[in-house]
Amino acid sequence: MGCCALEIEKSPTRFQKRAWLLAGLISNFGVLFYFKYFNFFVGSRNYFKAFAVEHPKVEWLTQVLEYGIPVGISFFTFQAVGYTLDIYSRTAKAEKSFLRFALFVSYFPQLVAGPIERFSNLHQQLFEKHKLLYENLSNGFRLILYGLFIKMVIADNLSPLVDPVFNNPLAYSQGDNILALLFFSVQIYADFHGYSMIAIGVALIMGIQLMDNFKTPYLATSIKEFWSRWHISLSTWFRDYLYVPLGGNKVRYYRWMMNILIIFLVSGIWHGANYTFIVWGALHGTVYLIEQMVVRGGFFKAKNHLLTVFGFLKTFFIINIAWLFFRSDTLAKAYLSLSKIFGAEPSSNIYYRIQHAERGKANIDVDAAFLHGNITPAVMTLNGVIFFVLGILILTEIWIQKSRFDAVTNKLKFGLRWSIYALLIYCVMALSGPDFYQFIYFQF
Amino acid sequence: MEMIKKIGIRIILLGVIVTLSNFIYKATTYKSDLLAEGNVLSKFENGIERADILYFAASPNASIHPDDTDQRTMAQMMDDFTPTKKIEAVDTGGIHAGVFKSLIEIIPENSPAKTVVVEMNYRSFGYSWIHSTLENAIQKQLIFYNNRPAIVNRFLQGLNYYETISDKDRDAIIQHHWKNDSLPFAEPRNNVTAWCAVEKWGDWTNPKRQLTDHYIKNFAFVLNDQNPRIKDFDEIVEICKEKKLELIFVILPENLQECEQLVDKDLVNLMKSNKDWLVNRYRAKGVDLVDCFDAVADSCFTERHFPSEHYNQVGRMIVAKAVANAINQ
Repeated sequence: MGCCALEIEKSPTRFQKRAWLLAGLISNFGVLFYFKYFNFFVGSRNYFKAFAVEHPKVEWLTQVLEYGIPVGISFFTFQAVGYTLDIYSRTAKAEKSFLRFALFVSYFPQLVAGPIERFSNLHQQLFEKHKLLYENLSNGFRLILYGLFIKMVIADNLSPLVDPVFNNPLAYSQGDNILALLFFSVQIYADFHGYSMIAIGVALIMGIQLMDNFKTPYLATSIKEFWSRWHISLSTWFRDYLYVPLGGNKVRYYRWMMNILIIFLVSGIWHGANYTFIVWGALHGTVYLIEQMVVRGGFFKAKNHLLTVFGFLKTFFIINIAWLFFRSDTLAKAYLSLSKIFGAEPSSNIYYRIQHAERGKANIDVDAAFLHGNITPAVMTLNGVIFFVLGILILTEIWIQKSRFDAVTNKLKFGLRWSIYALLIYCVMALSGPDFYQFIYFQF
Repeated sequence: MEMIKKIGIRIILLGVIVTLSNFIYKATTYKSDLLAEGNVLSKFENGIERADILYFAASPNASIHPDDTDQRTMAQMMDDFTPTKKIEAVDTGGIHAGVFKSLIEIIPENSPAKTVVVEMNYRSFGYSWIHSTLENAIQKQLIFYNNRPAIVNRFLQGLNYYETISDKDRDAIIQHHWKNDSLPFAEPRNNVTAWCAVEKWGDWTNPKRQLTDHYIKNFAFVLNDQNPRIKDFDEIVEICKEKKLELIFVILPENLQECEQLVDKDLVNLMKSNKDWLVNRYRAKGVDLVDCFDAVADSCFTERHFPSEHYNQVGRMIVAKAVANAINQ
């Protein structure tokens, strides 16, 4: 990739530049495709294994695939692709030193789950002289503390409640399914935002400013606003390197609609090779377009509190329904969860038809329920700690709004500030989840 | 200089916060955490305060058959046999010498407990126990069993500061040992995998075949000083010497009759030679060792579908008496 960028810069003709760009993109996306999407397009891994038995010459490939996906491959691939495109569009100069380029791609705090940094922002900072500043230390540690709090205390306490419900929605009541979905919304935010905070904090201690990735996204009043607050480094990447090159909004209406849908579908596929992610992206894209039609149509022009509250509730509802697809292993299971949430009786016929269509994996618990009528009802067990720490999170989010934890605490008096630290330290040390669950976004 | 001063003040503040947090934690959620993740510690804490002798055991101590008229645990029986000394059990299911070692290490000097009796379960030396699926949970418990402040242990637990191996990887390790660890017999009994393939009792649908398989997998191994469990027992010996604690090992009875009937005499002989190796090793180290290996008859074993060390009241009484004799001598 580094070589391609250098060749793009050196190439005298547009044709040669394009050829090198293509080579760079193919090499990057080729690796990504191989590790992440190969099975999806060939079929399931089991299907491929069966294929390998019949064709022993490709057995080595199945063995390589068995090692799984390199952690954070989508993140560092996109960072490297962004760099190449920057060189192609001459918004940045190619890095001649391989080691410096390697450091840019593999800068450890954000290597595995972002934020996906731009060359223009990170590269210069990495190689300028740094002084150990108290301000950086203090802000960095504040962010790490808040990141640990939301990851270890919020996300890791919610994970053992959410996982069993999504594993077998049939065993749980309508209320538990609803609660599990709401908890997952909080869990994924706390997990990913927590990682981002820790990454930004660690980099800040070293004097590097990484871009913000979240700005209280659940307070958004539209899907458009949600995407300006959620996983900002990815949404701006898609905006700059896909949406704008496709023509952005400077094209005909139908073409623009198509562009929007493409962005959201690609965003879904970026998360993983599964139909559930595609539906997740499509749902966001569709609602985004409907919202924009309403705006363009001039409905609801007047701004008032009632509309704001409605916008918030509507957005939160849509986001949650989309998370249901995101969290479910298969579309068939998503169907079960949806049915339970809306109080309908799931049909085994529909379940198996969806499962067959998506070549989804069989689920022992669901099969036991549908095929043998063997279902053991389960109940989600809640405790006071969950509500206590969720209360802290909600209050903090409302307090922070579009700012950042280090910035808002900086404005407080010493005593109050340290009281907040003490509370968070206590929560992290004494009330964290009983297990440290791997960061959800590491799989992407 | 100013920065160092600022940082110094904040480090002290942090220390104060952690100390205060520890007090609050111990007064609030510590007990429930122990109940959920380290239940043996509360028994240990009670034991070190009031017992003269601590009996470290897994499930055999308190596995009581519903038909038993005597519902006492082994430790309670031992306690009744030694009226001048108070014996308390530190026990829970599935634990082993690795856990006992950590607990013995934190027996305070001022504790009245000056003798420790440690159960030595033959099955726990086999790789199917060493890498059982319970092991991650046991490693998680172990974080609590040391002298660090309770809140630090809780924090480390939250960070998964313990060895975790996936079930898949554990299974691969076990399979590797079964396949590659040589047994002192001719083919097809030269390793566990090959031995299990011998169709003495027909196919897998036969319960006898299944039980035979369990016996071979759990009991067919050759003990040597590289076995992780041996290393744990060796460390227990050293810790007790250092802490001047009197140490008694108890080799628990195995169902040799059923083993011989289902598998063959060779497996029983292999088990006995391993047991003798244990006896010689630890007696040479000066440990008082109670050998109950073949002291209990088949009829006293309560579990009939899996080889275990769960006995009825007669079996428990035999072991308790043997241990009490050793204590009283």
